[in-house]
Amino acid sequence: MYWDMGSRMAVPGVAGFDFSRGIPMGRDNSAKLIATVFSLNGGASGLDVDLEGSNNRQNWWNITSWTGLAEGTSTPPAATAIPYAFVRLKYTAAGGGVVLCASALCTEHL
Amino acid sequence: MSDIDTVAVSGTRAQGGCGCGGSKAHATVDRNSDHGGCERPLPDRGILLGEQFALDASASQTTATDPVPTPYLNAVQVGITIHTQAGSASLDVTTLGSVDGINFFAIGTQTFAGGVGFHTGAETGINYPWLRWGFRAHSGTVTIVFAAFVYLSCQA
Repeated sequence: MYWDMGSRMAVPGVAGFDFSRGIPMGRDNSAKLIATVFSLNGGASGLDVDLEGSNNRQNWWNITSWTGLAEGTSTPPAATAIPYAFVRLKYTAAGGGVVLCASALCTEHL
Repeated sequence: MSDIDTVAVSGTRAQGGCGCGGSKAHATVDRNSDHGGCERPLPDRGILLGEQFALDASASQTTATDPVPTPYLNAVQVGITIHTQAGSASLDVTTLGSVDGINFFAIGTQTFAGGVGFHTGAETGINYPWLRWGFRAHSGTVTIVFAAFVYLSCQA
């Protein structure tokens, strides 16, 4: 299933990073990121994206990290064998500054 | 029109109210309403954000809830029940607002350093249609296990 996670994000928000909403995995067990970095600003060297998983939408654990995403569209390798009912993304502007970006997740049952 | 309704509907949302005119004569929403020209768009809402958050203060762990649509509600009372905290630490609860549900801005932060027990804090004058809450444990070496509840209302 395709999930639009945010089409006009300015990262970071308040704390130097930001979270997407959590999405249900349903019967899927893999997730692939499609991220477009529009611009790196204020010293940002790239966009770091962590995929986090949860089974109660309260306590979240890191599944994998995709780091240093440059301007343009990136489709890093998918995370597989995900044992969580929900996943979300944590965005960080690497090196500080602000990253303008959009992101989507595609979940599949592999 | 009761006093409660007067408080609830007076003032525009831009003025920090909740979106309706204050009198039937000047109503812009529903002139036939018996409640000062408009019905309250939404009732007050209580939301249990979760009962088993766990954040490690030694790592300054942070998390956030999913965004919640909160049109016409401009005040929030945060209630935190700290179940477990084996030493001194602090818990920051930040109310974040957004106009698009994607980009969030800090409205205010409540810091709870009192340990196990129930704690509350309020934010008012909120003018965002989306809210979410961020939590950060810090200033300690222990894990804080807590429940979070918010009560959203419309204050004049």
